[in-house]
Amino acid sequence: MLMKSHKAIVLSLMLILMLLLAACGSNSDKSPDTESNSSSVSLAADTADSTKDDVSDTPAAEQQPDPANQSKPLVELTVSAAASLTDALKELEMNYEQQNPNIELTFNFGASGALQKQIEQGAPADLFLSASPKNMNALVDQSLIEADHHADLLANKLVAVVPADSSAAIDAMDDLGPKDLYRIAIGIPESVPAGQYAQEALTKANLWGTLKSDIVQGKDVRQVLQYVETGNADVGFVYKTDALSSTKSKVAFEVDPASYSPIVYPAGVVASTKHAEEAEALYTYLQTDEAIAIFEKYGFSVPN
Amino acid sequence: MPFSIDWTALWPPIRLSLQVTFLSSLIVIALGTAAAWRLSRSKRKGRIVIETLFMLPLVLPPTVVGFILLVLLGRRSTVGRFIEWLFGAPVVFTWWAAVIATFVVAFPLVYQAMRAGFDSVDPELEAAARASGASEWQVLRYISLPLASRSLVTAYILGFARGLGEFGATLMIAGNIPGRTQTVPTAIYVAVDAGHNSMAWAWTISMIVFSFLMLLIARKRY
Repeated sequence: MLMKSHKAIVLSLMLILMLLLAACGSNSDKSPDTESNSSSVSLAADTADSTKDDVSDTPAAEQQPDPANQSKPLVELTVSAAASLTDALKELEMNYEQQNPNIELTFNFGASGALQKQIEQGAPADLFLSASPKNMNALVDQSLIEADHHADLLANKLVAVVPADSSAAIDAMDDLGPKDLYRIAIGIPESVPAGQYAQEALTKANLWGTLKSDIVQGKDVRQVLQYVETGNADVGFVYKTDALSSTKSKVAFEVDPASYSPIVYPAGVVASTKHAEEAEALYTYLQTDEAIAIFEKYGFSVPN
Repeated sequence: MPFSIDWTALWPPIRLSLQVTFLSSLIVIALGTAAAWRLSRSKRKGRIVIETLFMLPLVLPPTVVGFILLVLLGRRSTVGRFIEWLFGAPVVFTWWAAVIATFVVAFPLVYQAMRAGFDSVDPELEAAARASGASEWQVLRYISLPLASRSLVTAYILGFARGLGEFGATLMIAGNIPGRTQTVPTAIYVAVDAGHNSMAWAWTISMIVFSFLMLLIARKRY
């Protein structure tokens, strides 16, 4: 028993030690982000305060470079957006907030299905950017999205990614069969649009039936990518945009667009928004050439 | 469709959850008890550090634990390669991965409960047993464990309950393969996400029933 318990302790210790080491790593990864977030919030609050003071103390508005923008109170807009839009929207956020100092953008990234649920349950979102028309249409049908303020904003492509150092001969759909050759990861088809498109493409290639029972279903596209990046999945189906953002994985092939429904990202103003004017302004901005150019930089395209 | 229950899809996650939780609860009660016994008798300086390390999985978010395990046991790591060499298949995305995740998150609870149990045993009783020539194993088997049996039950139930509800770490390293690695909490998550509310309810009720029965059995004994 003495030996046994000794071993048990050493084993558990090793595990815990490794946990600790890795925990430190992930913490330091995270902290700058949260810090910059909170500081930007407080900064924004400061400007709002000082603008108020300025207005009441100095009625002479000529000191202000752009009184129309400066005197407006700070408005916080919450954008519920599909996870695959994360990087592009972060860049757009900087541009937009610079041009509109009275707007503070907050993002709620997640799977489109989950975001739809949240809005149905009354989550305080102002704008919804979905990775699938299905989720948008469901909300429009329930009058939760303004009928005259939604449109197809962007298009995306489905690609197969493999780990960056992979030497597997995967160049086309047909290389994925037979069963047990590769570990494949896709998003959960019922709730992750990318998974649904992957299922369509695999079905079209007559592979879904045989491979189905071995496919790992990630809860969102990022998890699929993570499985591939860590080498735990040999191949994963993600959007072209996600593949471009990853350095630890590479595109093996682009899936034939004819084998799945067009990937369209609709945008819509949430009907219950308390800032309709600002939300509509943002909605319009997202369709400008300037915004589209940023989206294209991240691999998106304009829908046909 | 969203309001119907697919009975054939209902059972596999429940069976898998029970299988995973049962196995991992046995491992965790054995190792947790061993560690608690060893450390409760130790006067070494490093004890407090080790105990703090043991507690970490309790305070870390399960997804963090899961991600660490994914990297540690993944196919790129030495441990992962060793396992693949040993069993001929990677452990990630198998139900064994779920057992490991469940074990790691349940360990702190079991350890803490057993530690408290052993601490409540009068050291003089153990000293008397040793003086009468009992080995350490005999002291544990015939003196300490019986006296701490109440804690043993508590520890087991805590470990089992935590394991049954484990989601974040499990989803990360066992993945979500319906019929293979999809446990009840994962199935509920997916069902809610996909709008299959009646399925989500059916699984939720099954979880409540099992948890209720377990607590009932535990209370009946004492």
